Amino acid sequence: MELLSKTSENRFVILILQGKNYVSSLRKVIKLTKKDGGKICYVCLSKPYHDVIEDLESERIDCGNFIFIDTLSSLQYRLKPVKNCIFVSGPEKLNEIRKAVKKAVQKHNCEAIIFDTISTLMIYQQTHSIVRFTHELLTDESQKETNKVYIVIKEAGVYKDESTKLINDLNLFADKTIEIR
Amino acid sequence: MPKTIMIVDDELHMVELEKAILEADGFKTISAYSGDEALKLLEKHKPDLVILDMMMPDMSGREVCEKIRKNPKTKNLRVVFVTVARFSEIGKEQLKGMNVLDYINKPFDNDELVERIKKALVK
Repeated sequence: MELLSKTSENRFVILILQGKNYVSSLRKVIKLTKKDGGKICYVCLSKPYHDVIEDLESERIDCGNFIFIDTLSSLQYRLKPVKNCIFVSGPEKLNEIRKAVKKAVQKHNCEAIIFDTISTLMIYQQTHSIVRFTHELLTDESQKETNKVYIVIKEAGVYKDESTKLINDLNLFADKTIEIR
Repeated sequence: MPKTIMIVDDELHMVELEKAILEADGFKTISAYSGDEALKLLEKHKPDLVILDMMMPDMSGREVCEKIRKNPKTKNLRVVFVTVARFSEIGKEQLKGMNVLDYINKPFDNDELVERIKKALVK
């Protein structure tokens, strides 16, 4: 995890996590990010936010300073307003996600944004749309002060080629790319 | 002999804009609206320089550039990126590694585009 110690020096960090160690690596990343003390905007692209909270709390991570963007909870959850979560109608709604991130960052002065995981979007979107989405978030004037952490899971199987393509394209904008095996 | 520039961008209006600016300055142009179309056109044509957009569907500008470099017939072709993308320092180093001569950000000034293309042609 020594590699991760310098993530805070870089604004846009791509973390390539192997599938088998994904959960444990992600938790270590979150613990390190939390050490900085600011609010964290956590974009849930792989699991509903209540599952993410459950996972984090089982690791004794206090979610008090997290603002979640939930793209996966069913409508019954979305109808009830929640203080620390903004609901988006689906992970394929990139404009809605972008607006929600902007709102969270502006309202709560988030110091970090975690996308867990951006490669999940490949189920719904072409690689170039994800690259464009990520680039627009990075260059958004309202988020210039935010340290950002993007998490990309390196997947095997049908999405392997697309993952590689996504990582290679995002690398052109990244301040640091870290592969954790 | 006027120099020939290939313009590769999925956005029709950008191709038309770059084409109009360059042709007004005496360049000949070839247009392609995807990476795949560009690579096919490169089998028949030998432009002096290729302008690549970065974020295109199906094949990104980076992938097109890599394919150009891998092909013995086009490996020495001059390549310039014209893109909305803001590359990081690491990204700029990678572009150098792919022998990309310049990267011009959209929106660009007409004179600046011509000036930088002319500079890239003598590099």
